[in-house]
Amino acid sequence: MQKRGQLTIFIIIAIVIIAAAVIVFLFWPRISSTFFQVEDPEEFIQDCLEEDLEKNVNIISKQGGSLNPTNSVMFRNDKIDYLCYTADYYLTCYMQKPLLKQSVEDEIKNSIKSSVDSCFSDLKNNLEDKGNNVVINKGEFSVELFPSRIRVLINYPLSISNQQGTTTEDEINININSNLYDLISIATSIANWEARYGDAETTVYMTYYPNIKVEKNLLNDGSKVYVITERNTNEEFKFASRSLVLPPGYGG
Amino acid sequence: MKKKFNFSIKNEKHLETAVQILILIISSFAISYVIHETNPDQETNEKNSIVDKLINFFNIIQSVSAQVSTTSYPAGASSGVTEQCCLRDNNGAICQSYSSNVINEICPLNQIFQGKCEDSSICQIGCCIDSDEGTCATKSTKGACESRGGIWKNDQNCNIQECRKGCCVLNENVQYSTEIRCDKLSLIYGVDENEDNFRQVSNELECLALAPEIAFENGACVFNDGNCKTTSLKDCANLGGDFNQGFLCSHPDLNTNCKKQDHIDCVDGKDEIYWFDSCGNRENIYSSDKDASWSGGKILNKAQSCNPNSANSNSPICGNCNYLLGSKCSAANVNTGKIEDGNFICQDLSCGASQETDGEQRENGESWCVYDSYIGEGKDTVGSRHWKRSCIDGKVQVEPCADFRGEICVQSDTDVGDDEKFSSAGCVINRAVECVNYNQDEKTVKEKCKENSHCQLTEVDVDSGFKFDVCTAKYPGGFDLIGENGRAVDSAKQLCSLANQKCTVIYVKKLFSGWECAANCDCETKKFSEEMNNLCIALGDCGSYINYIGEGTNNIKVKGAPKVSWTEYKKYAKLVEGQRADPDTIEDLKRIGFVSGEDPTQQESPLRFLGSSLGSFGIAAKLIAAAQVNSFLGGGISGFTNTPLRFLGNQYLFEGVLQGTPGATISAFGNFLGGAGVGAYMGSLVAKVFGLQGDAAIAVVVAGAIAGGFGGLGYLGGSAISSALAGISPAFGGLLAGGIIGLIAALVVAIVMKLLGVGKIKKVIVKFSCLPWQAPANGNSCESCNGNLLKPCTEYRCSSLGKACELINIDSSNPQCVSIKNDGKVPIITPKNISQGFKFENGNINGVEIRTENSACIPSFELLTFILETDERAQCKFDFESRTYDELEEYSLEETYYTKDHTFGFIAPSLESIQALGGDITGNVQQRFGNLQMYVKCQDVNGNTNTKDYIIDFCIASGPDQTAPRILTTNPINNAYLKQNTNQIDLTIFLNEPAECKYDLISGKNYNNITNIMNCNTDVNDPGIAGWTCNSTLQGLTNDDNKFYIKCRDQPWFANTENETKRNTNNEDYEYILHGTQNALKIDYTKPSGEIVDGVEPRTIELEIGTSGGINDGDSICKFGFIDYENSNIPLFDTGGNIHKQKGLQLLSGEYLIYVKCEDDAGNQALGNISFNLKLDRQAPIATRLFEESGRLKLITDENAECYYSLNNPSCNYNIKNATPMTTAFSKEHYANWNQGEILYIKCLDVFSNEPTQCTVKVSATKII
Repeated sequence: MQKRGQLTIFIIIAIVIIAAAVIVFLFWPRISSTFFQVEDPEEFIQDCLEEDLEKNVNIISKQGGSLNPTNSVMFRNDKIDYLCYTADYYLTCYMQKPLLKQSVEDEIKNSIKSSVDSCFSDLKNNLEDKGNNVVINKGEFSVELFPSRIRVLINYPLSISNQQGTTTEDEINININSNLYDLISIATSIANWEARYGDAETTVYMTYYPNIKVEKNLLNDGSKVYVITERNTNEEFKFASRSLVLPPGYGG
Repeated sequence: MKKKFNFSIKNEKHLETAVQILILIISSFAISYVIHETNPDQETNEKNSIVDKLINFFNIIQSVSAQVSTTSYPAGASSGVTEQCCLRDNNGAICQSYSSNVINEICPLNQIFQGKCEDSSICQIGCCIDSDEGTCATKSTKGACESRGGIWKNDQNCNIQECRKGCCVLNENVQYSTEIRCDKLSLIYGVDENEDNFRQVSNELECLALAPEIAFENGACVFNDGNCKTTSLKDCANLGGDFNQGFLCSHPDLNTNCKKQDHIDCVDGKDEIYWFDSCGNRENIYSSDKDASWSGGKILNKAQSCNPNSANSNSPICGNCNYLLGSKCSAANVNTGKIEDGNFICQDLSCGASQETDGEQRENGESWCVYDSYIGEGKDTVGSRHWKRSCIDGKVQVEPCADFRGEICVQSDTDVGDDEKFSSAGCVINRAVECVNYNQDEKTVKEKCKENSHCQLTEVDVDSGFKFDVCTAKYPGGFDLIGENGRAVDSAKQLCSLANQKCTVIYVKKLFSGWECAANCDCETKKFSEEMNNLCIALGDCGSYINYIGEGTNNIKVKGAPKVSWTEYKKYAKLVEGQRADPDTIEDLKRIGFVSGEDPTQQESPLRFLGSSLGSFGIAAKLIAAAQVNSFLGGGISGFTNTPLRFLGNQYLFEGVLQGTPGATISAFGNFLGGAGVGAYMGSLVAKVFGLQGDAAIAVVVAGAIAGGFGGLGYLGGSAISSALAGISPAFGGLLAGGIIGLIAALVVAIVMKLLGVGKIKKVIVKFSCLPWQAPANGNSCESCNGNLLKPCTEYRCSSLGKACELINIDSSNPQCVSIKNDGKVPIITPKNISQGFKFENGNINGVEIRTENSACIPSFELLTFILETDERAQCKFDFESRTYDELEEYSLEETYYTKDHTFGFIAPSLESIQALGGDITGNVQQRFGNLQMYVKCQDVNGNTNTKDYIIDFCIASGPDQTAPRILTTNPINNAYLKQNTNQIDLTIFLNEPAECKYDLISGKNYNNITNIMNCNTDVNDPGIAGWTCNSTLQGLTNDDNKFYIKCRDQPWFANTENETKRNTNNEDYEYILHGTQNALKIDYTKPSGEIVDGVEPRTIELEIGTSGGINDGDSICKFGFIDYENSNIPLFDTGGNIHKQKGLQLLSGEYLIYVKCEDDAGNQALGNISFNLKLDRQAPIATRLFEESGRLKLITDENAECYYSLNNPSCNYNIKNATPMTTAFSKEHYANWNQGEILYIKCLDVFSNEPTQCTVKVSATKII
């Protein structure tokens, strides 16, 4: 009887532990914010924003630098934006995004705008739940590409007051690892060749930059989709070009 | 109910055939006419004839050619459609040109700019500079650039100082970039900005080669605590360490905490395997000989490390991997082995021999061409494509060249010793279009064709009278085989039709053997079809040929010669080992790049017909064929019957007279010869009178000669009597007798010959028509396109495999070619549209009747067009006899294409014209005319063909022709302009029926009173391409308006007969006007000129030419070239008005003389040239004087410059941003403070940023150092 009772107790304890573990697992973010003091707002924002940022960067990279491509071509069921385009035959293309880096930075910025606000809102709630008085002034934020990283500089002055005093943060600096800067440099170079000569030789890029793979895909309408891949991380940047297209036959 | 007629025609079949042949012949003209009537693009005055169409076609070709050469010719420049600019179209594309008729569909109204894009301020094309990043974007629009804060410069190629690239040194790394970008990168990488990190190099490779040298400049940076870091001098200084250049941290003399050769690893961005010391500093390249690798603690560069000239792939003892030689550092695995001291290896990056590599070992970076089938010689198969493959990091990559063979793959092999070669391949634009274009100029076609490695001279040599060369593509371009793009279809049809040829074979009726071929006999052999089909194939996807898997169809029409089948070309589906396209020569590249390597001396082509004025060798060859036949007739048969025989007769006469006169006693032989001579002469006269030729004429002459000879001989026998009777000498009597008897004999023989028809000439027209190639009508082979990842399927490849093949999942990574399900049903034919004035009647599933709107028969020489519709895409053929589908040879206007609409066009001949043909027409011809039936059969994409004919029943009005002839068009066109001082010109008018025409300078004259008679083609059987023609040379033209009044009279076969009154004559004049040119076309100015100095090469130059005079205030087309005026054939980018501009010419420094040739529509020409000297300034400014002035140091430079000084940088490698300026703006005078004891290290830069490698000058207050 004692043994049976003992067993029952162990089973109950085991169930309680498992249930607790499940609850902790399911509600960890809330639990963590409720029971643990937020030490570093920057870390909180980084954690909050990182996933969205990476996801959007990935999408933008694979769609010619646009989150919602408009002047695009379908390639393997994805819309790929043209960096260089002419609707005509026989002509070399015109650059559609002459300042590509800026354009991509703007796209990334627009794509995470709501997430940034949401993350700051979460941060405020979290801090206030812990008895802090939080003031956030929504200012500007910027996205900038650098070699090997993307920096999001959020100029949302933050003031946290509690019994210990007041701390302020003028800006929050978020970084994620990304080779988009290098990929865009190669893409700009290829687009320049496309605009100037109507085509770009891919082997040269791969020979000069062994960590880069450049794939050129020709589509039925004469458009080309370039896929630039960083071999070590498998990050990709895809873009389309339509330049110096010759119609079937001699004049169609 | 079907009408039944009782025929009472003596030779009914003969008539039927005659009518059918006539209709078929005329239908070809009708089809041309239909094209003319229905094509909206052709409705302008300038494009009214087939001749103009061909001109248009070649204009397209010309623009393409110019584009390929200069990549700067405006789209649609020759199309005549207004070009407008859409600032941002519905898709978001910026600054796109669209024709005015479609722009509203794709461009929001507020985004339409009524003009060319380059005229819009925001769409000007130039260079966009990102001043933050230091990057430059070519061909950028001003609006897009400036809206994001970029700096826009008016040089679309970015040949400007700000975009000049150099080598940016970033610690151990280098990057080929602009100077501004280098500054930015220096900032990012924490490299000392104050140093001059930007070095001038010629190219990227040179920059990359700098990297190892820079690494060699590093050394050990030792800190007080015993730590050490291998870095650069600059970095070490920043870190506050003690720098020991060329030392490793593990060097014993440095007494650091770092132990040598602690571990081995790969390094990001480096090829080699390296040792690392215990502090984590990279040491030298790995070698199993550790001492050698450590090198006594000194840094070794790559060349000093183990086995530097090898890739060291899979070497266990040397880690000196080399990416360019085919290896790089990689973690070892079971397949690779490893170095002796670690789990790394120089991984072999070559691609082992496999199917992917064409069975050869390929080195890393090597690229090679792969083809589908035979290439070159105009035999590239339909659907085939050129592919480039490359070996990158041990894997084979595929890069397809542009589909439709828009690009070809060229390969060059370099011998790398040991019987090994390294291949480099690339896809280059197929210049096929230029080849056809060369035929426009008969003088240069051969030369240009041979010079262009993408062209070949296709020789057609069927017979002595049918022989010519045509420049065609070596790798013909492919066509859109689907046939849904109307413009592409028209283009394909036009191009193929250039090989439509007609060979006239001449037959002469012989005395014994009947009709014998006398000229162009081989045109009736298979040789004709074969050679013409080869020409046809070389034009593109035309003719009887195969696709890339060796299946094919016949797409030619041959009349009068055996056909050639696609099966005879199956061998071309096989690859030929070693076959490849060679890269262009330097000369070719020069030519494309405006610097012609052509020999200016030009040989006149012996084949003058090639190209004639239009380059339309189809037409021209027909003309020459006709000309050569005529020449044969004139110089051959006619000559034989006239000149030689006349000579023969004279000779006999002469000899007879000679031998008959001297002796008083006439020998029998003399009399025979004399009589024969006179008889022969009589015979020749008789032959001429009877119009006999060839054998018949010979027979008559011989008969006269023999009879005359015996007559003379016979006279000798009865000379006494004869002499007594006639009182003449025996000799003369012999001649007289010979002459009389010879004449009688000749007359008899001539009559017999005439009755037998001996000597008659018969022309047989052998025709070849080249049609666009169509895939087999099935879907059996669609799957052949799938499953090869190295050769992915495309729409073109798929559509070449079968008409029932369709590409699905086009946008996916694995598009599939699948077969359209065969429903087993034949196409259902129904009547759709018919031209005005006609109607369909009594239509049912089996056919339809065609009548006029009054239910009458079709009037003669009236165009009838109608469209039959099928319920599915189908190819339709017809004939006037019921045949199987394969036997049918006549196609609808859509030719071989599979469509739903099928257009037919006819002009019916008149009964009188049939009779004029001379056929044996008797009996109730009207009834036979009243029941013509056309049998139509259609085949769908799966090959289902209606076995039962669809019958078009129509009748031709047999009543008298009551309408006057109509002038369809003229050449030159009405209201054309004449070149200044033209006093005569050849005029051709095209009529809807055979007629005779006259013209006068006074209007309203009665036809009979008009004296200027035109030379008209009145052969019913030969309607030409655009109608029956009349020619004349108009003379006395002036530089004012020249008016002519033309009238025509039809039914020329009634001329001077009792039916003359039946002929119809124009009541109204056709007013034909030619406008003269009053003022000569002039070039008013050209730009640039003089000396142009720049610091960047190549320099972008814009040409400008102003013209005036001519037919419309200088409006003309200007072309330029670098050799001479004759070779000035590149149209300026913006031409056609009176200001002509060419942008974007990229020129190297040197003196230039550019030849300019402007020509207006009338052919008025103005010549000029543009001369300038392009100088490249790469010299840094030089200090010419240095002195004290008003207590300041004054420096004078030899050119405008900016000067800076530093007080502590003796090598002058400082960044000018951190130096003290001596100048406020570019000037030759520069000032600095005059302070005793200071040494000024001065550096001067000119306007092109040329700076010295060292200091311009070093100076103290007391002396120049």
